[in-house]
Amino acid sequence: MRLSELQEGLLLWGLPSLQGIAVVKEKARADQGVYVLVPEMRPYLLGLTIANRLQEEGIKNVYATDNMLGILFYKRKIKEVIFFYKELTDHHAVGICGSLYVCLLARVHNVPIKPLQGEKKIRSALAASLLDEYTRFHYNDMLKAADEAVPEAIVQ
Amino acid sequence: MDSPLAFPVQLQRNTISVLDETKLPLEETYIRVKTLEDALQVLGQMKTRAFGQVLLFFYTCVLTGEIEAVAAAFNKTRPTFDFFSLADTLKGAVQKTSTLQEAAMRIIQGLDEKKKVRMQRLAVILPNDARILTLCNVNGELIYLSEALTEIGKTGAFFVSETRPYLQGARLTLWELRRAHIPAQVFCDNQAAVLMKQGLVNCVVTGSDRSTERGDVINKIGTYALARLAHYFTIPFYVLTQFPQAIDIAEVPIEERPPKEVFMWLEGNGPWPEALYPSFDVIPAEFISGWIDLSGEVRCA
Repeated sequence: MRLSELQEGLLLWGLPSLQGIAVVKEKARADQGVYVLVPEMRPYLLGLTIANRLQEEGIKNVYATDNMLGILFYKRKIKEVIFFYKELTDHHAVGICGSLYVCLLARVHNVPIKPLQGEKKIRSALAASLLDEYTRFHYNDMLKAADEAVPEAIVQ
Repeated sequence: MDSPLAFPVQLQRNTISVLDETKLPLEETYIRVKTLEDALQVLGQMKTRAFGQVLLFFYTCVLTGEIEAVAAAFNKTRPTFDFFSLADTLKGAVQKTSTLQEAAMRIIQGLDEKKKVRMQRLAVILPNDARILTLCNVNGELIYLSEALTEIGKTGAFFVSETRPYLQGARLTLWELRRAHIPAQVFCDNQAAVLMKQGLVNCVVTGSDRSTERGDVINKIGTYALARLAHYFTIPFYVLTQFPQAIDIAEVPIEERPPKEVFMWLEGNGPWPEALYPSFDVIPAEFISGWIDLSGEVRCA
């Protein structure tokens, strides 16, 4: 799909629970034709699993790598971020690796964030789709991927 | 130590030898280019990019004896990069030399010297303990930067964004830095905000494919997000530019690659979901702290 073909969509971040999928489905149905943007969600490539799941549910979706989100915000292709956090702590929403990146980009572009409880345990898509030989070989060289705490003031 | 990526394309008699960057770092193999068609194929498949495509352009002109036609064909294949400016530079140089080859060689040698000078200038303005976030690959220039930092008694370490989907950061930049024994760490593109928030990085340095006199820049996808985040955390964001032009950045066509390439570095045969692949970002000048031009000029916001 080309960028010009994409209308404003919903950006999904984090691993949705069953109820979360139902919320996304309802939003997509209420806003006919809206696309759900599914980022890759490195390092575990959760986006691959989620995109397939949305497809099974009949929810239109389109995949992008995480670093493409900047241009999508810049070109106003995202009307809302649905942020599936893992837990709420003292004034923070804790989400998967990259949560601060996504929420801050939404914040600086004045795009609303809807925080919802997501799955606490992630199921990696790695078994199905490993990165290529070199990246896998050097996986231990990478900065450790950890959950990220997003301040309440950014999520609200 | 120079990187093989500093001169990834070379002219040997009647053949251009192109380092296949898509095979790095597992294999260091070269593709032979003998015609314009060969060159366009290599370019379209991103076997070489950035400074490699500059070299490929000049050498293809030498090989074919054409300048305008090569610029038009290259521009059609990769529309975001400005091959017409390179054509003008080459035409200007031809006036002062006896052959097209001599003109091209002079420009290329001059460019390498200018890259070293601009890295010396950049080293002066970076912090003493420079912890530099970077993405994609700037063809050996970070090695020049590391050397320049050392020369003036500063230290430098690099945090390299892996740069999906082609992984130029993880495959090329990490490889060339480690090969030169320069401290480097790769991270997922989406970890940039955490690195900045935790103070692990204190500056950002990126290349650019195109820039305007106003200071707007076009560079690899992912650059805009880094610029906005650096701006948010008040971390200086420096861009290496060449030949800024009096153009409106909004009028430059942004290349979109085939969506299937988003998955080319993943194992498995799919089926893959529908995908987007805009391959460049536009970065407005207001999110950039400094521009270091090939002329050696340093301009800070």
